[in-house]
Amino acid sequence: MKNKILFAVLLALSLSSCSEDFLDIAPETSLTSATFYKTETHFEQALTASYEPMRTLVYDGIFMDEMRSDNSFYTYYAGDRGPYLYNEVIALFLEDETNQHVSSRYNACYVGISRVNTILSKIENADLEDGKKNEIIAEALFLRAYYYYDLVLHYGGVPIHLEEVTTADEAFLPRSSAADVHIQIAKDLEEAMPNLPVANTFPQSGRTTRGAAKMLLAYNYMSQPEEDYEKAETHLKDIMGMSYSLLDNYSDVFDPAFENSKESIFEVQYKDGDAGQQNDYVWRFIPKCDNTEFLMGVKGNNYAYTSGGWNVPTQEMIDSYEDGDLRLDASIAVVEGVQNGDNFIAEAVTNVSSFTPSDGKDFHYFINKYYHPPYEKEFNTGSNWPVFRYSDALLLLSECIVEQNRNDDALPYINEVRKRAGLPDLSNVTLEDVIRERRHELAFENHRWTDLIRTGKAIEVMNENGDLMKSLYGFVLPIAFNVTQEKLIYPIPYRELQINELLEQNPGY
Amino acid sequence: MEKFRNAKLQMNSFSYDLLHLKKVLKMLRFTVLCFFLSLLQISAMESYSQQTRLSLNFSNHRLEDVLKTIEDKSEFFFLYNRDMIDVEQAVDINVNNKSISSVLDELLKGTDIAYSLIDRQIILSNLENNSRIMVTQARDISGKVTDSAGMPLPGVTVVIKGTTRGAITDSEGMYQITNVLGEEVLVYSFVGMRTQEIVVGNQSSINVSLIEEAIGIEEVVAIAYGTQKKREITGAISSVDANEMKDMPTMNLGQRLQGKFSGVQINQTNGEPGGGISFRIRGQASINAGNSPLVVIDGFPSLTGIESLSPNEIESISVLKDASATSLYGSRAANGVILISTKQAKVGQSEIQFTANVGLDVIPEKGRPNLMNASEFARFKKEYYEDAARYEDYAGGVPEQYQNPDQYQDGTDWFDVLLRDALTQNYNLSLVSGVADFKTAVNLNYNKQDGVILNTFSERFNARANNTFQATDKLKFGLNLGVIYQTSQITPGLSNGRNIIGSAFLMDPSLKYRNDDGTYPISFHAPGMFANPNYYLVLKQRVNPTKQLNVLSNIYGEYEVIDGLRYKLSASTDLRNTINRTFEPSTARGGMFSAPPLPPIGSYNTGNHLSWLIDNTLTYTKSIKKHNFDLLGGYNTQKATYENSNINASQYPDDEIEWINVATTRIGNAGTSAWSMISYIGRLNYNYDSKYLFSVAFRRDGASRFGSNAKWANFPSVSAGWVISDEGFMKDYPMVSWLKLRASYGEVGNNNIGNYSYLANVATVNYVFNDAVEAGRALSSMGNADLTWETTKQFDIGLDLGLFKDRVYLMYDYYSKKTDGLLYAIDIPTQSGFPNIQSNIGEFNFWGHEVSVESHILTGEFKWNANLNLSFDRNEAVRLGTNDTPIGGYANQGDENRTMVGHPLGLFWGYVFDGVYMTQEEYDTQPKHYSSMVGTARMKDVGGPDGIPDGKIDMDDMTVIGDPNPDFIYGLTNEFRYKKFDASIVFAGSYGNDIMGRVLEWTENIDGVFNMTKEMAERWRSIENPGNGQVPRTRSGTTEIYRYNNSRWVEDGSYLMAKNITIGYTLPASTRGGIKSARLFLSLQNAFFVSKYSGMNPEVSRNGLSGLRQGVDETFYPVPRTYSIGLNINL
Repeated sequence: MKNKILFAVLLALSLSSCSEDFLDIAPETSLTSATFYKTETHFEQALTASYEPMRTLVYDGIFMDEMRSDNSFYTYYAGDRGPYLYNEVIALFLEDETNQHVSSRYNACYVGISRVNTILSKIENADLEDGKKNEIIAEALFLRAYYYYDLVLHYGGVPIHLEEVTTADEAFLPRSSAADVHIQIAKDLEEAMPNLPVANTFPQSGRTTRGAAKMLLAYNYMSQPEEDYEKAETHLKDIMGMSYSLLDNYSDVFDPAFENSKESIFEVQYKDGDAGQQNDYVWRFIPKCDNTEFLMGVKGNNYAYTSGGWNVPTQEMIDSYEDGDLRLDASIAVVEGVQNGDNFIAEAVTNVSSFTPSDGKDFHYFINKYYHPPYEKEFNTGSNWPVFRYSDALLLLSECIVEQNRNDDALPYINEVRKRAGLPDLSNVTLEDVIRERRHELAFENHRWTDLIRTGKAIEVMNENGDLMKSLYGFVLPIAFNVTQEKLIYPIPYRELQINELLEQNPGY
Repeated sequence: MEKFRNAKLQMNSFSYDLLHLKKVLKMLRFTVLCFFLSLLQISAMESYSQQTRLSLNFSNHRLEDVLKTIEDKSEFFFLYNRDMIDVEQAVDINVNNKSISSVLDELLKGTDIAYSLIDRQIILSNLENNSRIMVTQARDISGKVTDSAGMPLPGVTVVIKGTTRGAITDSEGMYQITNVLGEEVLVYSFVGMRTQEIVVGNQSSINVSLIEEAIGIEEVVAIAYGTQKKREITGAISSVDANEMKDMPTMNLGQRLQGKFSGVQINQTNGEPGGGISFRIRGQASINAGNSPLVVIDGFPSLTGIESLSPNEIESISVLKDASATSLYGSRAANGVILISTKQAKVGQSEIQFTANVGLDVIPEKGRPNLMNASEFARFKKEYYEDAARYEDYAGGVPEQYQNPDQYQDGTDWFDVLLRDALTQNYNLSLVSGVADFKTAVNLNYNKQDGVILNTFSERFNARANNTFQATDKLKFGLNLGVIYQTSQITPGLSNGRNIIGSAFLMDPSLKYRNDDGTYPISFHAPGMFANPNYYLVLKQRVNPTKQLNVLSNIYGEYEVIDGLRYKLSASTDLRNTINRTFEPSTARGGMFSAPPLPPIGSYNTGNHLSWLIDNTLTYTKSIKKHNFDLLGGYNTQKATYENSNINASQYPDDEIEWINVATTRIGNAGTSAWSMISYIGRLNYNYDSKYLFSVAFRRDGASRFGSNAKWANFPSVSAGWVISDEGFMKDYPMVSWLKLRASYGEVGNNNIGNYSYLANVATVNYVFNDAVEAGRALSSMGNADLTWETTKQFDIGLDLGLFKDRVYLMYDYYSKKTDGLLYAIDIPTQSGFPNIQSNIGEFNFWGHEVSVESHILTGEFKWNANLNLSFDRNEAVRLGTNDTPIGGYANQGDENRTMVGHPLGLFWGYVFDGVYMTQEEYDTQPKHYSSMVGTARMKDVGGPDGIPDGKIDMDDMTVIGDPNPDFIYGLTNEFRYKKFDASIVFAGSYGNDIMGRVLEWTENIDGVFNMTKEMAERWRSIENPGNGQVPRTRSGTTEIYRYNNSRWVEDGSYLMAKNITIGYTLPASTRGGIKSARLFLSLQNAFFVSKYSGMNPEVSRNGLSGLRQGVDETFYPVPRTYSIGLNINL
């Protein structure tokens, strides 16, 4: 009898001879941190991924940097109430701390910073050849500076994370001062610059270069609370000595055939198709209409959700161009058609400079720079987004010199830009001239709002613009366009304040 | 049924063993290969005694052995009295392929034994004694056994007391016993009935009426890894017999269980064919790890959920509620366990049952939104543009189609366009046969439910064969095999969030879904409104078939090592293959905001799940005097893998071919994931004299899902019971027929998180360099090597009370649970690069009272049973993530529920609606939102940055505006029986919960983009024309706040619903056509409900019974009322 019991117990045990290995199941379809960050390829892949959040910055920038300014507005559409108001309130200066653009941009910057910090933390002990290691570190530092610059520009002083966050506790840091953020940016860029490549062959790859670092550093010096124009000028002049130059035709700059050209210092890369690398920005810019296929070559509904009618050039913007400025038609086009209530049917696309509205027709302006139809797929275009261009460097240098009251020294740089635009040379230059030139040269490239802030013109210009908008559009609430010093930076996102008690909200929100 | 078998089987014949082995193989093959063979076999049994042929060859064997062999080789069984029949005598027999009567004639030739043959029953009697008894007035007794309503009871065992002689009643309830002495006593017994004894005396005809046993204290109930007598149970278990709900015309088992259990909330949140049921036991909730109970089918915690099973193949369902009942399921038991037992045959059972019912699904008018008709809406639009011109310098004029509202009448009712009365049908064939060594139960079911929404349906075929084979006295094998094949077509978007009707009825009601010439417009775009497809075409033309095949198998062997000690090895597999295909033609793409024609798209998606479990258990049952022990030890391993693939196709040449092979662009993807688990279990049930009851149970689980530092955990429980009514002192309280006190404590877990959540995952994040895609990778989550189970500690105390001879049976339970270490991705500042980290944090408390009362109110000719259950579940969040940050409620729109420390879970969170600023003075003196103007909506200023009202209306003014947690839920079942009529009505309901009618965000949108409720005509238009004070003006830029989550949308959701009403009539028994019995029934499902709630379904919830996010109504697949007729035939 006992043998039988023993037999049963042994049988039970033998059948259950599974070991602990049975419980070790790792995902087969993805890597984990345990196996990643080991090889040179891994770090290159990690670096590649660190560029990706820039795309979010471009998208939110369309609203937060461009539509916020006097360059553009939006076409009112009754259906865009409720959840879609978050676009409009940016233009109306009515946004609050729950605005989705405000949180999306903030998050994207920190996602980028975290990816960079992970690289920097892991690469120290990685078995990589020194030269390669330094290259990767340099590129990573540029990206971190880029994201912190975007943060300090839009939110003021923010928490500075320089190490990979591996536990919940490490995620809680208070805000640093704006000045400290600017110092950190300069530090990262100065450290990165020697190991960054100089762009010599065009088209460029799309990776960052020493030129881009110098450009960012110049912006940083000119935007910090205590501007350092001298240092900025040095770096901008270094750029003049590099292989960059203007393209002959302004409109070529935005032609997909000339991406990453010799005029490009840094641009955010996209590619159309099914690999998920596309953007849909031009679909946002064209008017909401029933027959998008007429404009784009392929149908895509753009009334709501993935809607159009945003970032629409204002009449005042169009009127501000000098006669004969070749940049007007390259930057803005007009579509004529029939309006029925909120519904629009497009009939013709024409140049703005030669446009006179026909009787019984309605028309909408839209940004022409990124418009290269026909497209093959709805909401799928491959146009890169310019971040820094050589003309930007020329004008920033002009601004930098004018700010140092050596106005005449700035003339050659600004006139080089004007010449390409088909405009006569200036014989003397003021800060206003530079600001206006930047407005037209860099129109709809997400520069205008931060230019106005940097040059101290934002409050004046935008209040004036607000009065104009209110007089034109009855739907603009009286409370809108109350542009004060506090509105020059956006709020820290609501969620962050709820979670991290160490954070304080910006005044006015 | 008693079967005489007191001699041990002797395996002394080699040929006999071989026969057995062949039988095993034959049986197994037959079971696996074909269900229909068993059908043939069973129907052949009708004339069993004539058709069965036996071959025997014994010389000089004990008669008893020969009889035993006949029993083993056939389904015949012998009844005899050892005192009168000499079974030890030696006999010879050599017959080949002879009928039973020939065999018996041969066998008993030359003995003093006579036999009589009734179906499979052979009664042996002594010829000598017979003659003697004849002398002493022995006689034949016959009679009829009925139930208290006079219905014949087939299958009742009638035995002469102290002997094994007896009979079993036939389909008419008739029995006959020969040669009974006057002083002998007949014992009548039947499962579920009180046993009766009658002295024969000088009667020759004895008719007996058996009385139902009120409460089955001696009934055996399924528990974790076994069964237990109800009287000995110490945990909190509710069980229901499948018979109680057999007539309901529902596809889904869950619907039949509504209102049946205390402590179990079962809601039908939508009416999607075959779906829509949500479960929650004892109010359990988790933040992210779900609160669906573990479903265990015949001992297998399987992937196949309750909704895939056919209700007809179920025998009983037990719900395990407290930790002592569930702890043997360890890390998966925190949400409670539903044990499902499928039908098994019993020895002596032989029946064929066919059931058919056909019904019609109809959507009631009640609760449909009260929307404007075409003329009212055109008037609104006209005034909207007029007001825009007046207040906003709008110069576009009133669009032409709204200039003359009177030209329209009612317009289109999209409910009528998109809904239909739908057929629902169910056919079930059940074949059950149990003979000595082999028992089989085969169930075939076909069910089809056409959806009430056009072009939707769900169809299911279930086949199940449950077999057990007693190979030897000690060795038993079993094979349970279930195959489920389902197909369905449910157009996506019908059930999640706003459904298709909810989209359609928001359109301008003057639009026509069909042109006057009979053609169909493919899209609509009314001025100032969104472009929409024609939803009629969307339903008609979109293709979304899903096919699913499940195979559930369980094979086991059980060996009795010594008396009472059993080893069981069981292997179970659950395979599920799903294929889904979609196609959206150019004319039916899009949705709200997006109108066709758009390029066609399609997809092809597959999923393959495999889960297997190997269970080793050793059980030992032993009684020493009055000490009864029941020991269980076990070890099991389970692994589940999942593989999926999907191909998305676009750029089709046209709408002609739906399959993706013709598409120019096809993008594919495939993936896999897996989890595994190792467990040890142990349990000791001990009782003294069935009076003092004690149980300890333990499970140790190791799982792949948890962090390397925390893979293993222990789940113990202990419980005790005291049957007070068995104590002597209770004799003084004769009205108390049963009283038991129970208490338990234990710990269980919840492991419902992703398979790899503890790891820091590296995701693909590509970018472009040199105009080519460059591979990139980045961490997509933070790892946590300490991640482990969510643990629930539960205490339960209960009382079972039977009164008035168990006419009233009451069960009461109080429970208190603490769920700790909640699996929760705690929010961390995004400055870390990550929004959250998977952690064990937070603590919820749950407590509550449960009462159920079973009562037999009337037991005479008119019978009335009523079962009532009430559950009072309470909960509170004690601790949450970092800084106790509340969960949910962070947006003005959507995100309606908030869970906060010190409060019940998932409260509705939003603004308190306070009417409209009717005058300039009101505007000037009252708190304002940034967008406020005279005539706009006003919310209450209840807070500010420091919690003090600050005159500003912003997110600081969001507060608790409702509670979706009911004060109590209840169920009430009434059953009536009078002669051949029976009736039942099942109620279920809840009291004290709120519902948030989020559909109002759309139907009270006054921007003119949607159709809306009639009340919106009463809006503020000017100081002179200020409306009803509840509806604001339409001024651009001011209307958003009216659409914030607010108290105006919150309603009392208490309800009482008549879930099912059934009336049945048992047809007079007839032997014609071989029909033993038949019953006709009419059934009405979801008959009606009583509630203040204004919507269509008071059980609605966008997120099911999710503890943290329940009670939101956003329009769903409507729940039909089903009128059905059915027939049940026993052959």
